[in-house]
Amino acid sequence: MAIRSFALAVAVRQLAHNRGQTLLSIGVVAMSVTLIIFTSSLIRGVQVRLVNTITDSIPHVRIMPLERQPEVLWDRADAGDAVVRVGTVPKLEQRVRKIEGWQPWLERISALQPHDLTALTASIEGTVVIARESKRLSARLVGVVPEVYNRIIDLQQNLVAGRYFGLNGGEAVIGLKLATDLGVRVGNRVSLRSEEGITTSVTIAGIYETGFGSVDGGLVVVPVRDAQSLLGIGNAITGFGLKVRDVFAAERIAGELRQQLPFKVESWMQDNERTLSGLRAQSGSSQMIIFFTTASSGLAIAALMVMSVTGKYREIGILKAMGATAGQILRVFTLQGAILSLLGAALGSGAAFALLRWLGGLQTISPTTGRASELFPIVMTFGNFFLGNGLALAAGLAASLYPAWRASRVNPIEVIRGQ
Amino acid sequence: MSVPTDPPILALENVGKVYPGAVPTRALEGVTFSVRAGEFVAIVGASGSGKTTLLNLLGLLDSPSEGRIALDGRDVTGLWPAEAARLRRDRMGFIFQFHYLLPEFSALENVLMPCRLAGDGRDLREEGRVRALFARVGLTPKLDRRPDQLSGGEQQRVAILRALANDPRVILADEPTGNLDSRNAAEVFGLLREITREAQRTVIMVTHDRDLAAKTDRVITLRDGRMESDTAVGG
Ligand SMILES: Nc1ncnc2c1ncn2[C@@H]1O[C@H](COP(=O)(O)OP(=O)(O)O)[C@@H](O)[C@H]1O
Ligand SMILES: [Mg+2]
Repeated sequence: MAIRSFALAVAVRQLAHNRGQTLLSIGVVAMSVTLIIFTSSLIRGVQVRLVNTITDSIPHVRIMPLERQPEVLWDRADAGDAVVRVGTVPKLEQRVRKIEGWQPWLERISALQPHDLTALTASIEGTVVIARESKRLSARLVGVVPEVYNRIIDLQQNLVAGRYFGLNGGEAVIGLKLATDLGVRVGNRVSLRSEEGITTSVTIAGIYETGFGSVDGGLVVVPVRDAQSLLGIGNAITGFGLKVRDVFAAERIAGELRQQLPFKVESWMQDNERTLSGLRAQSGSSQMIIFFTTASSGLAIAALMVMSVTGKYREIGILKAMGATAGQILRVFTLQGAILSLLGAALGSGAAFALLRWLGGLQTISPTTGRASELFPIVMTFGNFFLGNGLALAAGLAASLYPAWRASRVNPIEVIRGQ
Repeated sequence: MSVPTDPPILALENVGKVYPGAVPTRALEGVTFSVRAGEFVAIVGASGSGKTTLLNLLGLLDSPSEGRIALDGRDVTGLWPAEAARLRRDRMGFIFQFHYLLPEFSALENVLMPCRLAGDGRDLREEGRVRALFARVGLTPKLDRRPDQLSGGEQQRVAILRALANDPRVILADEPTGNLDSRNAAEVFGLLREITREAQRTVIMVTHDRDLAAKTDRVITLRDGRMESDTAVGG
């Protein structure tokens, strides 16, 4: 015989013998493992999709010059001689906040976060009025190197007309909505006027459509130099934009950068606290589902095993009379719990994998854009499988403890007298 | 009754048993006897006279309320459960009125089960001897059968082989033929008698059957929990 250990041999033989009950137990475990993996993968996918719609069009972390704090008069060394006229408000200079000599900072930042960083660019941002004949609209101006900025937001892929990479001086790229609002097409000229009062005229080189309203309807993209002159900041920039691998790590990374840099550092998470608390509530309910699924599969196994122990009462008593110790009997039934959960978990993982692969492949066509996208946003991770299997094994073992304990306590005398 | 010269394999001294409960039941009182190695002893008595209780005490399945029991010269009264289990496994064989074979295992596997319980490879070492026992009782063709594929007489013969698997010093049998017709009963008893005589094994057998009891070495009669008589038989 292949199996040497008494407990293992009896455990395996009984499971093979009571095929119906064994398959039922494995089915229950498999179903709960599938449900756990499926739920966690789908919830994760929904969250990632939702977060992406927020973060795909913006830097995850933004670095800007510190705001100038109004000084308090009596803190100043020369305050003693100052004449304070009642009714006057000390005014701060109105000017674009900028970072001069920024290249060393760029290197410093990329040196600080080499692991999480997926993109880092200097940014030049300001507000402009874009005008075509009598139409004038307010928009956000960004000065970019297209090939670099495309890693923050992908405009190249989303071009609907003209070109983006290789943008020249005197050219601009805008979104489809803004273009429609202004009534312009590729090749038309528009005028840009900054808050600093500087005006220039540019040719529309390309038009994109990303699906993000603020990007498609309120952004004017020009080369770096043109933006710098429009904003009147010389060679300076207005900040840095970062993309990181794990969007949920953005706030932690922002916090670390805040400690190291004399700049104001903000993450997308600060601006989207409401969405994030919604996501946390969703995670909470998925944890509840997982908990109850685990618990019910554990209870089902416990119930089935109690039945099987009760049916084996006489055999257990005779085994004990023949010299099986309580520990050996305990092992027979905990091994059964372990075997049932292992097989169930393997089957459930396979089923979950197949199900997720199938659902992940389903496509839906958007009625407005006509583009195909995934119907179910599914994120399969090793962690989800680990979670499903780990919980099933723990529940199966825990569930077998009570029946196993009952079996180990069978008194052979009662069995013998039962005849 | 002859006076034993060797130290007895089993010795009871003033053994009594009271089952606790709302109304405590006295099942045995003042039972004293000893058994020599190789003796075949029948225990007879009316239903409720305490035969099963006595056998459970001898088999270390229960402990006496009074008195002492010695196995092979060693006091075994009030052992730890695990120690009692080890002694049962290594020194004793049990046969019951019903075969109680494990339905999931073949006849050979069932017989080897007490060896396998030891977990020391004993089942491998003893397999040859056990196969010879099957041949001895004419069950070699049924080695790989499941219990439900055997007749009642065959099942009980396999159960006897199981009690012999560990080559135990003492075999305890509680009405081993009680569930068989008289022809099968005589056959099974004959087998038990022969094998244990050849191997010089001690057997204590509870029986209702006066005819079978007359074929043993010695008959102990219980009445209301006391020993009424203890007589040597011609054999
Ligand atoms: N577990 C028990 N609890 C209470 N009384 C018991 C128990 N087992 C046996 N008895 C009583 O002890 C007496 C002896 O029983 P038993 O040893 O089974 O006799 P026998 O095997 O000779 O029929 C009987 O009166 C029986 O009712
Ligand atoms: Mg009885």
